[in-house]
Amino acid sequence: MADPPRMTMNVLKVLRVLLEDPTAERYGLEVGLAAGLRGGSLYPVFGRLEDAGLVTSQWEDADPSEAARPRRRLYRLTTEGVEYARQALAEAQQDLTFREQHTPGWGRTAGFPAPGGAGA
Amino acid sequence: MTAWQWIVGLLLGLGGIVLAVAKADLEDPDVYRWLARKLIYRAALRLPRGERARWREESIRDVLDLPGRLPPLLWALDTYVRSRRWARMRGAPSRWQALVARLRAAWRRLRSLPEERARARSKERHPALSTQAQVEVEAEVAQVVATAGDATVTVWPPRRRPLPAGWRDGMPHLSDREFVSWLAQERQAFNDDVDRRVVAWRQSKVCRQAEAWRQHRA
Repeated sequence: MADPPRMTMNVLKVLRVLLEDPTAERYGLEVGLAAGLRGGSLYPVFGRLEDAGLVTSQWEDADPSEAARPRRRLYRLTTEGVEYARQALAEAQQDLTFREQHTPGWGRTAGFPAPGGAGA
Repeated sequence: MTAWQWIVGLLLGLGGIVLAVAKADLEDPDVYRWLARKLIYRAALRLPRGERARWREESIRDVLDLPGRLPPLLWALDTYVRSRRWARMRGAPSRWQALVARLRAAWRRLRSLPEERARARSKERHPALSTQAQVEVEAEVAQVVATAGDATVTVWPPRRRPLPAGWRDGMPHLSDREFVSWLAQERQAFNDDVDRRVVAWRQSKVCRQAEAWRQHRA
């Protein structure tokens, strides 16, 4: 595998969506809607994952005239990508749990103090 | 009505027409898709050249799959707004890097102007083929021919020196007709000789100019 991508929240969202069914091929709009990302955030993530060898992509084989829509670009996790995505999501989950335990209120929207906190 | 009232009325009328046309256009969902497609094209132009086609096609297909009027436009707008950062991630130079590269290229071009001028000069036509050179050659040929008209100075063959008075007395065997014929032959030989010398002189001049040109370029 090439250099692993920088693990950002957007990358984790995309990996989580692709990991729901690792053998399935999904197109960009589908992944974006499921992950809550739009084009400006989604395509760079796909580019990074492809460069790292975690995801492969190819144009759909369907005939546009029969499908009554243009061909789509389909993405699928590679074998390495599946392992890496599982590991990355597990690490992220552990990190999130650790922060939640040691930093009450972490991740909440600013302006809402943690329950029982000093400033409450 | 005053002129100002006419002008304001005219502007209001034109504005109403424009608004009506714009409203009719905005009711057409194709306008939103057209705008979205334009935004995707503009975003793809920021990407490195080798990756533009792939991402542009994929983005446009995704945009066309989105239902409704505003979602495709928002998707394309988001892609366009974030495309500069995306392009930097894909290896495209940033705005400042592109500006600096452009300024450097301009500076290098400015510095190399003398060399470019020298190269342009080297591509000029041979001086012997220039109009001025042709004019000079023609003028000198005309001068030579005019001088040769005296039949004494430049082009008179040494073997045909002017004969002393009464020279025909030495050729009693020639009748008048034969003498005229001989004289015509002599005149023809003289003209041929002048032409030959002029051609030789012109060739030598061209050769001298070519040699001077070679030395100049060297």
